[in-house]
Amino acid sequence: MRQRTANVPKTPYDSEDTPLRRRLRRLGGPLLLLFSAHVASGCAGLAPAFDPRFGDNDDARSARVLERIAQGGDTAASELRVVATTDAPAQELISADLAQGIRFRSKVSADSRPELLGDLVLVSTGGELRAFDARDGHARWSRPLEGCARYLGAARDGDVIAFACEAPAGEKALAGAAPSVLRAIAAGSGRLVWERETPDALGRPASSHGLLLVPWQRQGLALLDARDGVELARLRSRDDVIDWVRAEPGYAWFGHRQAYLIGPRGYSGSRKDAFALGVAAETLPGRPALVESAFSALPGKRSAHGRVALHVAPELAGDRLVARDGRVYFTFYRYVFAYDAAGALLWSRTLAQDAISARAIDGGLALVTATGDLLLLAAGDGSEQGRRALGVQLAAATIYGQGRVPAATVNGPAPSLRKGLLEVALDIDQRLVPARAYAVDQLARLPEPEVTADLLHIYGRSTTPPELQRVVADALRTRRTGLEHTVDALLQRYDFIEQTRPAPLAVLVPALLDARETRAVPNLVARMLDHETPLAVLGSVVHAVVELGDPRVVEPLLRFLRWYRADSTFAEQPDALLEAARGVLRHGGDAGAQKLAALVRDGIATPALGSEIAVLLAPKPEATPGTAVAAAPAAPARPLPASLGSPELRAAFDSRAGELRGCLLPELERNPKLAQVRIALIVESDGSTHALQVAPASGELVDCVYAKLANLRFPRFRSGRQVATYVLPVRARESAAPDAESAPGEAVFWAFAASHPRELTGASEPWWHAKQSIAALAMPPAQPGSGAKDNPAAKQPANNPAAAPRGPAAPAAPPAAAQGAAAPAVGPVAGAPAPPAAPAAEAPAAEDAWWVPAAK
Amino acid sequence: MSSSRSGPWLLVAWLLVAWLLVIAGLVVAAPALVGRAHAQAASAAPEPKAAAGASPRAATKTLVAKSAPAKKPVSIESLRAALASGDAATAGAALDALGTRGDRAAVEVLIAFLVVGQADAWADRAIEALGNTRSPAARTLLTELTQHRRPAARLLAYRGLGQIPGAASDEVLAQGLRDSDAGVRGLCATQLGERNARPHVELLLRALERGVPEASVAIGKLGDADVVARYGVLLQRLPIHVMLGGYGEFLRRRDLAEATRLEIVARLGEVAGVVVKRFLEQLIADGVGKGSATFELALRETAKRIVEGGGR
Repeated sequence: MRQRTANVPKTPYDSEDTPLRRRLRRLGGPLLLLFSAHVASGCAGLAPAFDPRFGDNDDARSARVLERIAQGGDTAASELRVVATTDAPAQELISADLAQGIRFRSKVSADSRPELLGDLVLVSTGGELRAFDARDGHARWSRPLEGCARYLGAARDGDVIAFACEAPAGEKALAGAAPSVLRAIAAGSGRLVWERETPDALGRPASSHGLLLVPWQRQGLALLDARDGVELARLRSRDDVIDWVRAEPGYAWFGHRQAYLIGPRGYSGSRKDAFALGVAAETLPGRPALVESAFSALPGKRSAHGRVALHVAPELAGDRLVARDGRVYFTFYRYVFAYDAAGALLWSRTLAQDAISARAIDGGLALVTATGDLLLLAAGDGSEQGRRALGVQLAAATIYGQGRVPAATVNGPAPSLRKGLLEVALDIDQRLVPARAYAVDQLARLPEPEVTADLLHIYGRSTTPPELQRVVADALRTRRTGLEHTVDALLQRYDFIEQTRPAPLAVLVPALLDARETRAVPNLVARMLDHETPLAVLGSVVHAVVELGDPRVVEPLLRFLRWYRADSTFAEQPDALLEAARGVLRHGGDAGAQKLAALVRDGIATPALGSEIAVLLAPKPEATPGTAVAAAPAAPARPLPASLGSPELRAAFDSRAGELRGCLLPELERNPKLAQVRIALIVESDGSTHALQVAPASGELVDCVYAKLANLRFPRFRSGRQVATYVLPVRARESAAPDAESAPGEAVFWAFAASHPRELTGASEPWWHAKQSIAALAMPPAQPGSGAKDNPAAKQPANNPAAAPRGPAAPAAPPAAAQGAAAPAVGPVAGAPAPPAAPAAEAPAAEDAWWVPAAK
Repeated sequence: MSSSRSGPWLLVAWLLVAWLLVIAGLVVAAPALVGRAHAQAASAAPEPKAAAGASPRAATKTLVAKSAPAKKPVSIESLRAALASGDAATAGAALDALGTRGDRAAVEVLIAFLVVGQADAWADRAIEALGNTRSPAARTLLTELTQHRRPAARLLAYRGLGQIPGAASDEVLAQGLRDSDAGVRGLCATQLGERNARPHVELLLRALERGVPEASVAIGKLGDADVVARYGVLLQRLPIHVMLGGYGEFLRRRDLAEATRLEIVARLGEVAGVVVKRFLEQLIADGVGKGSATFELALRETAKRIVEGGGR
């Protein structure tokens, strides 16, 4: 090894510093710095709030904020106050209470509903956020709402007011994105303290002991420090929506249609831990949320917002959330409903004007109407216990604070639940039909017999819309109390002088049948023989007489048959007569059968009716022992299907298609342009039906269809309910089907018609023949042996209604009666033996006119 | 005058005279020719012998009576058989004949014919015949038939009831005012007026208000002074031609006090209008005012006062 001395110059070959090392040395510093910064940023790189990487449902973080929430004090105003905006033209901001009335009025055209936050009232107006003094209304400050497309609302914690806005969606924003901003401003000056932006939806915050609870993405709840806006914890629901949050002294609650608690013992965002605070909101008209959505702006102008809402004052009972006073209130414009903790309806009230805001307080409900009336309704019975008229028309309002509704009855006892619901149902406000239908439904659940009379009264009023009538009809079907009222209602008939309408037989008869109410038989017989009974429901009336009657109905049925067996009234729709014949057979025994046979034998009845009755009278074939087939072993019961498919639905409707077509002809006369009738109803899992809808919804057509489908039953299925629809075309070319189904491989528009060829069975006489006497002359002569002797003078069927009793063409002779008939043989008796029952006369192969409905 | 000029004129004159003589002869001879025809028809029958002690005049009368074609009364059995004959014309004629008979037996035949049920045409004809009997025995079935589903049948039943006297028929006709068919309501209102059914004036007023225009005439026939006042209340609500129907009846009635009738005329004068003017003029032309100079003067003056082209 060579030794070096200090004075020997170093050569490159002698030095240990290579170019690589020099290069590394030059770069090492910056690299080291960069590496350090990277490491540092990795440890502290989350956004202050709303960062997707922030861990949610973290127990440690949550525990800290839960302590603060539990310490939250009572920030609500002690007295009850209303802040509101007045209606056009001169819009103002007002504050009022029960004791003093209006405290102040300030001219401002508010875009948002006023918010009372401590000593300030906040409104957004014209792109600005303005604060007014809560005592006297003078303006305190204002600041522009830059970058705020829609103001959602604010919360206050001490000196900080935090509000959320929907930000304008940028050009590069993803579809469906809802960028939002949360800003904290100083309460005294409106100066910005901090702000947080996020590309996701934020909702109106709540505050509790230095914390801001901010709904986020509708699935989470971000808990921020109010001073600096740093996110401290995040709660996320696994299986529900977080649509709002409220902070109360010592706890907070949040949720969507159910409520969840953030309490001393923690929180849960799972449905299994939700609290049911009363009535199931999804069963109410308008399906209101438990609390207003924090993601919706609250308008300051007149709107429907807030007129359909639930109101509940929660309180903590141990670790459970319960409704104060055990009451949940539901306001629907002018109607107020109150429920207990189990969801049972307790009382209802009808107000003179719409309630635009309400608040559940101790002892009842405080509400304010559109006409500026402050009302207090008692929790027990809804009686009015306080009122203050402000004398202004209000557009939007919010009630703050606490108070107490006196318990004493000041204005006398309130009406009962039945009376309250009846008042709602009889109201004539056509905006509120859904709530009136709900009231009818609730009324029908009451067991008092008088309710049946109430339902009938509702149905019979001319101001009751058809939708409400259908609800009443469904309700009457299931009632089993107060049926004496239903029986009495049968006596109501048309009276031109008294201007009374006939009883709604399409509704009453099925109800009486379902209830097997035999007391109704005499009245049913009276209706059967009453000429004012609409033909459309006459068949069901006769059916009811037969089903509920006994041998005493045989004579009225025979009388009915005799009167009309040759009458043109039943030429097209002989259902009622056939049913009467069945009734005679059923209740009359052998004697009845003989009388029925005599009615056919004398040849007076129309050929069609005669042949039908002959079929009824024909002896049924009995199975001989030699030909008896051993019954196959019962097949094992098939499991119920989850739901009914199109074939099952269609089969049930098709079984009534013939009867339904009987409703088409009268409707076609009223409406020649009728192309089809659409039917929709709800099928329950037990096969029963309700909520029938018919289009077109003419009264006569609906009554006729209702009578035909009232006792229609579908096959059972497992659970739930489903909607069944059916289209009954007027044109013969189409076959009735729920919806047009494409044939496999359909490629052309005519394929459907090709795959559903038209079938014309023995077509009935076209409807217009009954109206045009000249057309009757073109009818072919009656078939021989039809029981009618043709008049050689005019080739017309014996019972052609077009044949005039006077005039040059004499009518066909009365048909010959059989000799030896039981009745005095005063009818025309032919010398020849009675002709045998004739087969149904085949109508001529007329042109397949498009307006001729298919017979079957 | 020369013969050549007067000849043709003489010929024409003679022809005219001859023609007139022929006509006169025919007129004189016609009765004799007819009498001879009757005599020939009766010539086959032996000449009736004059009864002992019978006067020649009586014998002549008898001869004349026997020479005329005899009308045989139709028996119920034959009518019943005719109904059962199967021939339309015969059966129809039988029904009409039964209606004309009007006796109890005929009513029973018609009732039996109807209760077994008939086709529309036959039922209607039988109902009409039953009404034509005017027999109280027909009231029960006619009342039942007022509940028939066919308006035409109900109409005929009510019409038939209108031919049967008695308050019971009035009661049923009053119920017809409530019917759903306008024709039935109108007929019943008219029948009540024609039958002098005063107890039902109140119902007729209500019917008029509801929209049965025929009730106005009936009210006019039946109402007293109080009814006139109540009738006048409807003057502003109902068409004038409907109201005039009733007023016409009121004004034609002599039993109504003149003061009431004058008040009506005055009221109509207030209404004025060409329709009212023509109405009053027609009353004058019909001689309604005769017998009371004051009333006639009121009619004339009121009609005269109404200027054409004004009022209703």
